[in-house]
Amino acid sequence: MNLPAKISLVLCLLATSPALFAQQAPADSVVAAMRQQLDRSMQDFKKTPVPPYFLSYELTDNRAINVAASFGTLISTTDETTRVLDLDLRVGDYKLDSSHPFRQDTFSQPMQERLGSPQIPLNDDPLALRVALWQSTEQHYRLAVERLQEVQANVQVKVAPEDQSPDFSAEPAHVYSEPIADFSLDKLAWEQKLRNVTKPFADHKEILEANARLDAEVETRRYVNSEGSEIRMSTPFYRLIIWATAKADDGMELPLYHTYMSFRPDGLPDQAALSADVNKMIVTLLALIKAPVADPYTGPAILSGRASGVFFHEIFGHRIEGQRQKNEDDAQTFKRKVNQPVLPDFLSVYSDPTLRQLRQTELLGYYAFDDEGVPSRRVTVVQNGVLKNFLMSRTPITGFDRSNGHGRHQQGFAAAARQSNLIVESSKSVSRDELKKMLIEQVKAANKPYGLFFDDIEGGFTFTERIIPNAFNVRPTVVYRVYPDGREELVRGVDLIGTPLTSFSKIVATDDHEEVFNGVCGAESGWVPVSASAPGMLISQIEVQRKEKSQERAPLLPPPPASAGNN
Amino acid sequence: MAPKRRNARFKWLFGVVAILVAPFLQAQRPQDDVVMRAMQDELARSMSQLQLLQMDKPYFIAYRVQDVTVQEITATLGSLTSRTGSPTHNRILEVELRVGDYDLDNTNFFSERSLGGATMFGGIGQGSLDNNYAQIRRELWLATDMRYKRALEDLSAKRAALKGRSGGEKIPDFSKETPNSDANITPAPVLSHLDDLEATARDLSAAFRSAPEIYRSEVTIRYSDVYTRYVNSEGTRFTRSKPLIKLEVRAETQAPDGQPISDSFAVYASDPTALPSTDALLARVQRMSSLIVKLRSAASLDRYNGPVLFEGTAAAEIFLQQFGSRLATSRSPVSDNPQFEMMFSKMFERMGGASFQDKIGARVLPTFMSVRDNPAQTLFNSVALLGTSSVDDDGVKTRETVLIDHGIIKNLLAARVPVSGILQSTGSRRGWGPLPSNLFVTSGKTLSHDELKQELLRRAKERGLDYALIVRRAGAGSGASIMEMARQMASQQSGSPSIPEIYKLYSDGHEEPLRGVRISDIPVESFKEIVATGDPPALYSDELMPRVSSMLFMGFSFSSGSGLPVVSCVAPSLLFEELSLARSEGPFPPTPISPSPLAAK
Repeated sequence: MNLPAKISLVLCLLATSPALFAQQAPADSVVAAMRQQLDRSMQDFKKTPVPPYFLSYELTDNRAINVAASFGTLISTTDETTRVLDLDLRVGDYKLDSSHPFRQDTFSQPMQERLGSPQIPLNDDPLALRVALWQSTEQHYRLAVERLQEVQANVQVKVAPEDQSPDFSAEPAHVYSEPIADFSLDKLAWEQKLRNVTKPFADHKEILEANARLDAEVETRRYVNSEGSEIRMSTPFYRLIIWATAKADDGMELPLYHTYMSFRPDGLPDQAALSADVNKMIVTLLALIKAPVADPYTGPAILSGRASGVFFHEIFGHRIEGQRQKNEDDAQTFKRKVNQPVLPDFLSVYSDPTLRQLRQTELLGYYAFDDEGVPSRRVTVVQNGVLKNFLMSRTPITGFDRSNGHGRHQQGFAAAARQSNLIVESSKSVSRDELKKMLIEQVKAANKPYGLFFDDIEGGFTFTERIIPNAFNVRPTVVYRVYPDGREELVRGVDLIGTPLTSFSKIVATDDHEEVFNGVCGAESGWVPVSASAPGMLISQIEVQRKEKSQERAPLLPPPPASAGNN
Repeated sequence: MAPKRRNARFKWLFGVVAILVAPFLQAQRPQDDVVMRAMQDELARSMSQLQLLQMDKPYFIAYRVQDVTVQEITATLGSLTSRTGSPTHNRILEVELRVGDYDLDNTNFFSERSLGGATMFGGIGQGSLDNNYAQIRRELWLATDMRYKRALEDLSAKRAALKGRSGGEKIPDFSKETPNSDANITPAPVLSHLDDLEATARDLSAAFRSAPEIYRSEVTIRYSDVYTRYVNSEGTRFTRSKPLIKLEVRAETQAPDGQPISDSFAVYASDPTALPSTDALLARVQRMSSLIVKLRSAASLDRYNGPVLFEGTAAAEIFLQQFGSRLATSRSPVSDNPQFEMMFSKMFERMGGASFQDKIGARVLPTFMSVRDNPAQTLFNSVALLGTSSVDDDGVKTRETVLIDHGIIKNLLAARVPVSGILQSTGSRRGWGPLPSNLFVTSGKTLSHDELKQELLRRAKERGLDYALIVRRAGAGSGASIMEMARQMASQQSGSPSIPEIYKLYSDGHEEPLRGVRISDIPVESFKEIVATGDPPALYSDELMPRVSSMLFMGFSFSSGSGLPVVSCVAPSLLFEELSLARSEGPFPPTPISPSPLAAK
């Protein structure tokens, strides 16, 4: 007699269960496996005397296609798919944990780098993924416990640090998911395009090197942590760089670079536009080898928007990275300058990773969430010349106890505060022509024979003060002398030197000719994509010296004939 | 009607001519190879015109262009962990250039300036993949120019360093060899289908899913083909294709006391169809997996001094490990810094063991054993040998060389770099320097498998031992030992590696597997005390690292990514009168705190 009631109850359940299923089905089986193993590991480690208080997994899937060509021929094409794990496991507590840097120890490497990344299954089999995550978690745990002991000893032995801020900030959890990005690349078409684009260089015997390289990547990042965050981001990147080198009669090698970037496959210029740029490069290279060598010089100069951008990135940008203010080995230039003027009052500086593009140019430093699961946001670094903020990761510093979404790293490194899209704005712009007139006035007033105009700077590389070789280098590639009568003369062999900070106080004016520089920046948390945007600037005093010159002679024999039978 | 008949005959003639010409058109003629043409033309121009002021002109130039195709697949627990979408292609250009003469030239010299310079690796560069005459010539032009300038600097520094030195044997820098202009010209190969390899890797790695006691496992399949074009100024010219597949399975775990237990095997073949069937490989994987699991609870031993039998492939393994690169010559360079010279000769001896150069005429094996190197043999018991080649990397014709005759060293393998007592090449240059190709260890005194075991037990009993030791797999990989060391350091393994398959053999015939017996170098002297050998011989192939001296001074013929040369060795089982084996030392890494996800299924 109860049967009809029972049946109806079951029917009710059946009716509702599809909805339940839809909610419970994981959006992403990889994220689900990460979550499962993370929770499981945290649970298992609770039984140990020093359990972790924080754990995060980040899996980065990357498919990269590279095509390289030189002088009209193909050099290589590669197509690689990788999946890399980055893991952050902390024991101790937010105040003092296993990531605490040792003082006066230049050799200790962050754990992340010591262990490297294990091989992670590419397909989404949950069991295989979990085993890989398990292996890494075990390794990291052991090392973290060891390190915490060492940290505790180190802290006892040294004097109290100046900056007593905690090691890690507490941040809210976020759940966010982007669809997996489409990625398409016609390899054969690009091979041919790059051949065509580099072919014109071969017509000139003075040009010794000429290359074009396409890097097309799609990167999907999945981040899961013990605070409850689950984030998936997916973006394609398309980068093209064309570079060539000519050799002058005195042996000096003169390089030129041109880089392009887009988040869309059709965002790179078409062949006609590229060929036009190549022709301009050839003209400039041929002019450069005939140009006179620059003399050492101190005096007024204009930096184009690109050159200013690079300048600001290299010299200003690194000094506003948060954790440097806490690092007792660092110069900590701006540490005590919050709310004080550090730049002329007509300049403001922002770091804005939320921007995919500025005016018509796409920006390489865009991201939705940083590598510690913190949402990106526009940060006002300098307002009308006054320093307001540093770029912050989850490593607090005195006066700044929260992240502002700038914790970034390359796979295999621990995250640190890094730049994103650096934007320099001026409230007092004049036209480029006006700026040049102002330059000439300064030249005359200082009684100099000429001023300098830095049109382009070696791009694609970033230097910091560290040992990493290929870093942002403030090496100009196209420089002109500007004479008091307005005449401009190309010169070669110039290197920018001097104390850059004094240069900031000598920025006199800016123009309305803003330019964007897209590149990659290398520092302690590895290589990250960045951009720098700035207007042209007039600086009342910069110093240049002669560039070091190659001592190798030009080739002894003339170039070989282009076809057989003409020996 | 005369005109008609003439036409008909003409047509017939034309038809015949057409048929005769067709085969030539289809086969690739050397002169149709644009790359080879560019190489020959630039070589000719460089030899005749390249000269700086009044300085020495080159007396020898060689161009080696290698088209390297590589695809590497790795899988774990049924899933791929890395993938190259299609094989990677690279073209590597290499220039060898000599100034001076055969007796004294710029090579076999190490200058302090060489340290930390791109010039140390000078003469090697990446070339264009397109078969474009102009571009290949241009690349060779620039590389030759750089190499020539560097050679002049080196020769001048070398002459200065040698001035005032007297005495010592004057050994030429370069041997004179007969140019080989009729060497094979083989057309560039067409890539075969590789999709099946991904499936094989996944299937084999999935076998470990049912072994939660195994912490880490991986299957790697590497396919590479190096197509070499070579031409030199003496008139030698050849092309050669060298496809190679290496399939490797590795697994590691720990015993409950933390001692690492690991095992691996590698299979080589020259094309996918020559690999063992997936079923056969699977059986091998499963056998390895069960053995590792069994070893976790096996006993170890403290120390053993007594007879040891290396059975089957283990014998070829250790022979290759100990003798492999010692059977090749090695030359210490002159240096402008005398301390370097001394350091190098000491360093080379320590790395890879003393070469047998000082031991020509000495006995290194029992009088019933001989060793020869034979690059011409292609098969052993229907299995392909991996060292086979008709020319070496200098273009010198390969040939069989008797190395050890009735225990006594007669010859060593040499490339074109003479050493005291060995002034000519034996056609043995493989990559950086001379190496064996296919080694055959023969014995005039063999016992059957059972007789050998009995002999082993008899000798153990003679010493009052309850058991003897049998090694079926020696481990540590032969010459790839430096790579192995690096790999172990990278994987944070502490403690020294253990012999993967070793058993106690008791007089009643039963066997017990042992874990944690340290792999140590078997001293070369012990080989003289081999007392018996067993039938049938077994084949073992492995990558072999050339002697360090060749790496530095022959220039790096980098065939980037194609791996080290593979050497095949056929040897009978070897019964050693006495070897000393000990336990692998700790400290051992801690065991995992949480169970593997495989266990909680």
